[in-house]
Amino acid sequence: MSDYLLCGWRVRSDLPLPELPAWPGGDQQPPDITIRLGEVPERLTPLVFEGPFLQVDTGGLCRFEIAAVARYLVRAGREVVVAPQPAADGGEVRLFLFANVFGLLCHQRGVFPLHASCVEIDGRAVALAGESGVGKSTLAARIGQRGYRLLADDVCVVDWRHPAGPQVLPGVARLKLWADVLDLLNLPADPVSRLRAGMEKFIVPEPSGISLAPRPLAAVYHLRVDTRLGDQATFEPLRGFAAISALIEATSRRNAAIRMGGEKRLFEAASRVAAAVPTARLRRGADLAGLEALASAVIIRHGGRV
Amino acid sequence: MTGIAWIAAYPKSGSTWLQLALESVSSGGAACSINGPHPLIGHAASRARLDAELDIESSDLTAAEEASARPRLYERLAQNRTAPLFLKVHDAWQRTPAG
Repeated sequence: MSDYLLCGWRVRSDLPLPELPAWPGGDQQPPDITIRLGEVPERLTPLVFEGPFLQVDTGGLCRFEIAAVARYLVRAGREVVVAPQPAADGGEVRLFLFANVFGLLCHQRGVFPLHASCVEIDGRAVALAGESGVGKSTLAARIGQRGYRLLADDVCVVDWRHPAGPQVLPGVARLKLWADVLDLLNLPADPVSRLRAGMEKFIVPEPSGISLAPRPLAAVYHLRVDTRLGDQATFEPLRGFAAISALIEATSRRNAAIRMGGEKRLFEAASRVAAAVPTARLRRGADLAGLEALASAVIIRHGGRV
Repeated sequence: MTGIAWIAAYPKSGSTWLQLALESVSSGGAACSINGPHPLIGHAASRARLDAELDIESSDLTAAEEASARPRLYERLAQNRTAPLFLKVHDAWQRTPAG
């Protein structure tokens, strides 16, 4: 059992979590989240949501399962019970812990998890949101190679109630990248870091580790691929309701959040973020040759040097 | 009529033309553009739809896991609808890995 730091929270875990830094604080503060090994029931009742991977009960208790990997019970934003399959790889168990379970925990804790990668430019957090496959992690990786630090990949946690404005809480210091992107970025595809057996997707650790302190959110870019753009990219600012609905759409585990009764809070969080920081639709062509210019454009917009 | 209306076709066999006809019919015979977005007919194979409905990243799943989840996705999509959902599909009929 060890204590780790995630999003500023003290996480006590039965499972080793090598992706996370050790808890730097003392023993005065009790753990915010406990991850333990244990039994996870087959079914929760009564259910408000049931899909092939996720069940949510009327009390907001969540059960997530990837049959070949593990079952997870996520309770009250404070406790995760994990029942790994005996043959499952530890990396796979952590993959779904940090993506799916983490997103559910955030909703239960009342913070706003965006489905986004996030980089730190000039001391502030720039979030790159969008559906799977639009190039969030790829763009974050390229900006990272220019000397900027990663704040989050996949789940970007926003503390939207912070008195100084929305803050990004530092997440897990690694990127998930496909083999062709690694090739493009001249990064090695280490077979040990393969995401899942047989899959051409790899875990790439952030070389400088994760930032330990929260960073004020500077902007949210909603990435989209537009094949007509070739290697070009366009920025279109979003305002008013368009900005709010794009943020709601970019919420990680949005269905589960709504089923847990968080629809009003989700709207409130998205409204607050949209009012506080600029958001824009960022369309890029399908041609990865445009990646360099796009990385530069994002860096320059936020006062960084290229 | 509710549930899913499947438009099963080979690629390039005219489903976009059918889509335009459906759009026109459902908007009272109005003219429509072949270049515009066509929200009326979705792609059954869309990963974005699967991800959003099932709260998952299909890019983290193995091909077998994704294939097994698809029937559950279509069940969910078919539930509680007041109008049919048009989905175009180019996939072969096959059993999921779990049968």
